[in-house]
Amino acid sequence: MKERISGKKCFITGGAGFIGSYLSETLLEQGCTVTVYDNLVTGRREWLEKCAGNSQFRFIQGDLVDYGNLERNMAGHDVVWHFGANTNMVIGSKDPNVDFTNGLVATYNVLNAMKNSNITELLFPSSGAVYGDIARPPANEAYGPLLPVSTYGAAKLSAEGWISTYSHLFGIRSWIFRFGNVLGARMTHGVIFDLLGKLRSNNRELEVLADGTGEKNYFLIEECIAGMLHAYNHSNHVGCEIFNLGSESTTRVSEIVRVILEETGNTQTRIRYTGGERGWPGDQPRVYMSVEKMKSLGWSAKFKSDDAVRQAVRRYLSKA
Amino acid sequence: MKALITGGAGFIGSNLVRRLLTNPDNQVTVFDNLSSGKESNLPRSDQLSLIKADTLDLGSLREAIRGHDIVFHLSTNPDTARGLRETDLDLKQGTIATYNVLESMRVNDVRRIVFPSGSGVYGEVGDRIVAEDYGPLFPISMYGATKLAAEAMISCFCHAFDMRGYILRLGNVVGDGLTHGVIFDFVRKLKATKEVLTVLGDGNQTKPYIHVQDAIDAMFLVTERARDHVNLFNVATDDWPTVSWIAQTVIAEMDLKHTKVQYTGGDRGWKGDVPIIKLDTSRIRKLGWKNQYSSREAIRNAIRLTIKGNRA
Repeated sequence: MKERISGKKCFITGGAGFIGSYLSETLLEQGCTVTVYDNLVTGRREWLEKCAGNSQFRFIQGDLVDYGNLERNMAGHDVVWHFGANTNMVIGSKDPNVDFTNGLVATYNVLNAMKNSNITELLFPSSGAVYGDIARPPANEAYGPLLPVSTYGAAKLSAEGWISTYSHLFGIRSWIFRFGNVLGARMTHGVIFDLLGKLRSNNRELEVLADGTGEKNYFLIEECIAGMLHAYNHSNHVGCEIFNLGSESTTRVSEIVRVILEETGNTQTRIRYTGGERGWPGDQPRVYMSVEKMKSLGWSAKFKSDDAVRQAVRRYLSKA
Repeated sequence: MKALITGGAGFIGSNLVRRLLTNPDNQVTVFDNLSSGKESNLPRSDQLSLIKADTLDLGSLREAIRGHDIVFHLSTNPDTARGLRETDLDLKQGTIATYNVLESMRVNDVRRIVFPSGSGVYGEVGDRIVAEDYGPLFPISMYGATKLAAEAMISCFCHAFDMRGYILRLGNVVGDGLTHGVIFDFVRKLKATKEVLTVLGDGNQTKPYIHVQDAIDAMFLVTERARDHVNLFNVATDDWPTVSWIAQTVIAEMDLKHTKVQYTGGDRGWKGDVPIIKLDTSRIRKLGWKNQYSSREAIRNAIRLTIKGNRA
C-alpha cells in the first residue's frame, strides 16, 4: 500500500544528526526526496553516507540562523522536519544567551520560511521535558500545567507555542512529538553515552549522577521514526497536534548501570552514586508519559524500555 | 523593598509604581525604552528612578537589575496587530527580552520575578472555563506564543537557580492610563466621529476583564503567600461581558443618543483573536484574593477615565 509520505519532498533541518540521519535514510527508502540542511556542528557527514549515493538526496551545509539561505533552500518542498536544535543548552555555560536565543530564532526562522514558501506540513520533535515535575503521572498530551525544569524543556515548550500560533495563523499542519529518550548507535549524549564513556576511561569505579532512582522511558531510534511516520500517515487532525512518543514502560538508572556493567563484562566495577534526587539542576528524575494516544492511532513501540536499553548498549559497543 | 519594573512607564507599570511608592520603605527602578510607555506617566519621587533602555540590551539590563530584591517584568509588545505584520516583534520583545531579564537576575543573584502572562496561552478552548492545569496549550496569536515561551523560561530558571516565579495569567486589564485595547479604541473613534461606531467582529466576543488595582493586589498577594518555586495563577473576574455590551456602555457614558453600531462581522476581531475566554480563578481566591471590581464595573470605570483623558 502506498503511504501518504511516499513521493513527498522532505526538508530536514539537523538532518545530519543522530535522529535526522536515520530519518533521512528511512524517508529515502519510503520513496521521498530528501534535502538535509545542517550546519554540521553536532551532525556528521559520515552519518549520511548511505544517503549520499541516492539521486533523490541533497545535502546543504547551512545554519538555521542564516534566514536567507534557509528560505532559499527550503522553497519547493512539501514537508519540513525541523530537527535542528542547539543541543548545547546548559545554562551557566560561557555565553548562554547565544545558545538559547539562537535555538529560539532557529525555530522562528523555520516557521517564517515555511510561511513565506507556502509549505504547509511540519513535524517537530519536542520532549517529555516540557512536562517538568509531573505531579499526576502518567502525563498525557493534555497534561498541565506545563512548568519545565530545564532550559531544554523550556526551549521545546517555547517552540511548541510558536508552532501552534503559526499553524493557526498561516494554515500550517503540525505534528509535535514529545519524545521519551531516543537510543541508538549514533547517540551523542544521554545517560548510556555518558556512562560508557566514563567506563572506558576508568573501569574500577563508575560514578553515577544522583541516587540511581531516576526513571524514564527509553526507546530505539527506528521505533521513534516508525512512530512519527505512522502519525504522519494516519492522523487526520487539522492545525496543530501533539503526540507523546516512546515505549510503554520505563527503566531505572540503577538498572541501566547493571545492564551496562553486564554487557561490558565489568564485574568488579564499584558503583558510586553522587547522591541527591537530581543529577544536575534541571534534571527530571522521573518521567512517566502516557502513550495511549499513539496506541489509539494504531501504533506502539515493540521493545519494552528495558530491552531498548540493552539493545542500545550492544549497538553502541559493537560500533565502538 | 527594592523593585525593578520593566515596562514601568506603561499602563500597568505606572499604576504599579504608584502603589509601590505608597510605602516609604520601597525603592523603585523603572526600566523602560519609552516606545509605548511615557515618562509623563510616572510620578515625581525620591524613591523612584528611571532608566531609559531596552530589554534587548542585555548589558544595560544586567547593570540595572543588580541590587534589587524583586523584578516585575511587565515590558512586552503591546501592539498585537503590529505583531502580525512584523512577526519578529513578539519574539524579541516578549521571548528574548524575558530571557534577558532572567539571565540578568541569575548573574546578579536577584531571586524573585513577577510576570503578567495572559489568557492567550490557552488558545481557543471554546466555552469551557479553564483552570491553570488545562492542557494542551495551543496559543493562536503571537502574543499567546510569546507569553507561553516566557512562562516556560521562568519555570526552568526558577527550578535550576532556586529563584521564585509568580506568573499571573491575567484577564484584560483596564483602568487609569489605558493606551490600547477595546475601550481605548471605542472612545478614540467616538471622539473623532459620533455617528457610527465600527466594531471588529460580530460583537459577541466574551472575555473577563480586571481592574488594574485588582491585578496589582494579586501581584502583591502572591508574592506574600505563594510558596512554590513557580506559582501560576489565573487572575480575573467572574463575569464576561461581550464586546457589544462594551460598545453600548461607551456610547451611553459619552451621552451619545444616535450613534449607530456597525459590526464588521465574523466571530473574531482579528486573526489570532480568541473570541471566548473564561478563566477559573478559584486557585487565587483560595489564597485570599478577591476582586473589588466586577468586569462591568472595571470597564465602566475605565471608560469614564478614558473619556476624561486619564489622570488629566
